[in-house]
Amino acid sequence: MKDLFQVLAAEGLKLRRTLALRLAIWCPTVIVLLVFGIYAGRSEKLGDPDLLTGFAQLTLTIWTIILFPLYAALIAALVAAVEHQNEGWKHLLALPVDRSTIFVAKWIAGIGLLLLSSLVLATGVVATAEALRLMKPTWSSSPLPSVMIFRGILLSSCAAGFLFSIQMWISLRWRSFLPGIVVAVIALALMFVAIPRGIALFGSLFPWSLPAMAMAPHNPYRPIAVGLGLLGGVLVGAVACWHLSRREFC
Amino acid sequence: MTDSLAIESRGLTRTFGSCTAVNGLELRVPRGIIYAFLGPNGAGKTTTIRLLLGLLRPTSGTILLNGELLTQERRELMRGIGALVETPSLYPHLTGQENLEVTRRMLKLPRSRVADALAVSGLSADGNRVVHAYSLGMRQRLGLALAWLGEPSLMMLDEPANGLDPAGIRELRGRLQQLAHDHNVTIFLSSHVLNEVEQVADCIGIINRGQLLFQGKLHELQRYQAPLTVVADRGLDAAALLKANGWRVLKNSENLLEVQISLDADIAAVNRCLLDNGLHVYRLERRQETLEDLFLRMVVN
Repeated sequence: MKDLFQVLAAEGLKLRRTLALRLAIWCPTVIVLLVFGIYAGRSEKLGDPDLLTGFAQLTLTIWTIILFPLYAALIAALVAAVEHQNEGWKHLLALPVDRSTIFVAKWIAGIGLLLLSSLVLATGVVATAEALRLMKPTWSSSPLPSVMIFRGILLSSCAAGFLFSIQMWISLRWRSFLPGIVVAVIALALMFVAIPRGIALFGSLFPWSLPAMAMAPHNPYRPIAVGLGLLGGVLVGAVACWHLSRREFC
Repeated sequence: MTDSLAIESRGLTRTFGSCTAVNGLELRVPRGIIYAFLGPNGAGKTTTIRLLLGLLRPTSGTILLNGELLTQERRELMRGIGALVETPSLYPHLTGQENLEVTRRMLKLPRSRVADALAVSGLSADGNRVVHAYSLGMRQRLGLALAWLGEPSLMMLDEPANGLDPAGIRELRGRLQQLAHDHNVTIFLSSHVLNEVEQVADCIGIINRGQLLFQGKLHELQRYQAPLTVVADRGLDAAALLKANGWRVLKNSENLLEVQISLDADIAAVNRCLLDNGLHVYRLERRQETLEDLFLRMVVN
């Protein structure tokens, strides 16, 4: 692990001009602009005092519940693809660098992209909410809970650790995009089946629903979701690094 | 003995299911030479290189690099080793310079190494272009630059001339000879371009179906050279005489026979034997075989 800093610096360089880096910025931006477009088209006569809170909640709900599990799977697949597609493993794993350090750096790079997208999302929500306030003078008194937004996104990102570690493991293990995306789609389907039926315990334990559970400020399962997301992320990540370090790359 | 060897393998074996890709390999690669590892497709060359780099674990046997036992845990042994396995591992979305910079950062090398490696590979002018715009030859040269980046004492090159034009091949040949003879770098290279190998290799190893058929200096291949063709007046008597004197007669007819010999001195010995016993020798001929001829005969037989 003593070489982690150098390996991370190399990983950062590898992400230049990649689709993964562009998606980390553009995906949340598109969602924010989409919801902004919906709200910008609303009549100014609507005097709902919680309008901007509703704007923020809609944006975060779309991102966290619908998009995020697939997005995390895609980011994991793209980070892994940097080596898979370019036969990078045979060079990388022949270097005098501890293999577990290489895989930990991959994890951190992926988490870094997720955090970047969360930051873009949070900043985008606040910025566009302010833009709406300027565009719609009657909305100027509508409060914008910026702290709630940033806290919700941060906790949701922490809770995403578990699902991201699983996706990362799958993506590094198999060259193809398919296993990771299939797992994410099935997980999403399970989530949409279980949670509306009120299976709250399932929702607070299922890795793919933890980000949504952690987003809601008044959800009693929020602490469980965040804790499980972090702990599961670290444990699964550690086991995955151990397993991948011992694999042969033909 | 082990200390003078850059690479040594003892009973190195690797199986994939029921297929034995490498079988009891006993490699002995001295330091500071160019060792050419030859074999037909599927012979086990790339599997051997992957074993030597720790990318695959041996089913049995051991590998010593510069006298030290190679294990999965001893990654520090790979410092001082540069490799190019099959196609170069390059990131097409990065420039040539950035590709080298990725490895430089991981190896904690001085920044100047990138410019040096680009200069050595003749890519200084193209260092700022993204790799996906490079030609095949340029990618190959960048792959060699990557192998050279850490100024290794041992380089393992799998088909390094792939994609290079004749000028590039000649330049590579000169560069490898300079590294080996002036800088004491050991070069273990596998290649199909046998006439190029003949010009650069100090030692060769020939592998087929996972087994080492020959290992040694080029001139030691003489014993595998074509037999001596003898045209004499009494071929059958000549054959009987030579057999009685310990020579191996491969073919004989009324006037012509083929005799297995090892050295050029054996030609004179055969001739003397026949003449001393009253036989007339009309022709002695030994076809000069190229490395390609020898290689093909060894792997086919």
